[in-house]
Amino acid sequence: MKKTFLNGVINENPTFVQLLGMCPLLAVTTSVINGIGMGISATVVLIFSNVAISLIRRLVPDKIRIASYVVVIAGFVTLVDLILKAYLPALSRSLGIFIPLIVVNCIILARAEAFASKNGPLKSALDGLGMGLGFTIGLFTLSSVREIIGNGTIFGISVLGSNYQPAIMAILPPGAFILLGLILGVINIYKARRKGNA
Amino acid sequence: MRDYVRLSGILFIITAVVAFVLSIANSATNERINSLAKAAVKSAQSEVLKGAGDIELDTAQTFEYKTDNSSVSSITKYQKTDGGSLFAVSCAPKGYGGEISMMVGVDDNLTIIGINIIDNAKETPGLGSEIGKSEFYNQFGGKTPNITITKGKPSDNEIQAVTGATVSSKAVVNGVNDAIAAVQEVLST
Repeated sequence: MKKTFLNGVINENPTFVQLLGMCPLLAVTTSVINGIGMGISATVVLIFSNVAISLIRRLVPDKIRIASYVVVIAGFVTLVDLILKAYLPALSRSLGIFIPLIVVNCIILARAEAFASKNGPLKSALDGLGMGLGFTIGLFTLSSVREIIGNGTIFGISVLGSNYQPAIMAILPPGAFILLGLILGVINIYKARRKGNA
Repeated sequence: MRDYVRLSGILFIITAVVAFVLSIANSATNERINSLAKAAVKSAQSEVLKGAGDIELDTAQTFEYKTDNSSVSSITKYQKTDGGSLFAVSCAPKGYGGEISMMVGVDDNLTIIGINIIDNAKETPGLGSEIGKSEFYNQFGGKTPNITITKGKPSDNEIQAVTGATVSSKAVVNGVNDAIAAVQEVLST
């Protein structure tokens, strides 16, 4: 149980290990609020779609499984989209098109195909939670680095003082690629060191 | 052959169940989403008309405005308590990344009362998105038709562009000029 959950957070972290879901990761991480909003929305969709797909896994013939998964996922994404629009309009506006695009987020389809279609609902829910959390951690890490460097703030609160000249580059698209590369590099150095010592 | 019927049947059932659930969700949230959008428009309107005298809120009359070459989508006319009228104009000029949604308050002498940027999410964060700051859009108050834009010190009827965001700043100026032209048209009819 614990292994299923931690697998998504650490060993197979969708962002830092599997490098899945790069499009929303690079696009919405201009501020921490956006990053976390995206992470939570994707996690909710991931948990529910994993459970639903796990429940119908014996009823759906192999040949149409992908089509069925996409319909189920699209359903949950639309639900989340409607709820965000009704209750968190500001967040909904700033995430814009990236909420509907969760439908084609490869993390969600990958977990449906690789995990939920072969495991029971409880395990699938845990897998969804772990993977979602892993994705959220990825979004949080990149968005906080980008917001601090590019805007001098975190959660919109100034942390580097008013004398800091923000490096706008960090919140522009090229900055997303460069900083993601640097973060992945640091993680790989850490991993390589640990392997060397063991 | 039977396989095709079975497969499409199953897919149909799944789709039908999902559609049914979504229709319930839609009817549950629809009202709230609409009223939120209406409230946002109302508060934006009273925001851009602030300081130009008392208006009678229930005199609001909204006209759809559709012309080529104009970014204006609708005009709402308010009667003032002491006579005269004020206009809140919704427009969406093309910026750098897409449309900028904004509201312009104009009085019946075609003077700008105030403007407000409703949605600048498509502009470049940190550069173009700065048009959403009051330091920029408060420059418009008191301006008269044919506003121009400058990179240096603004003189009469000029707006100073946001540094590094000429396209976005120009878009806002275009929107305001379109709004004035639209009000002029309404006044002359």
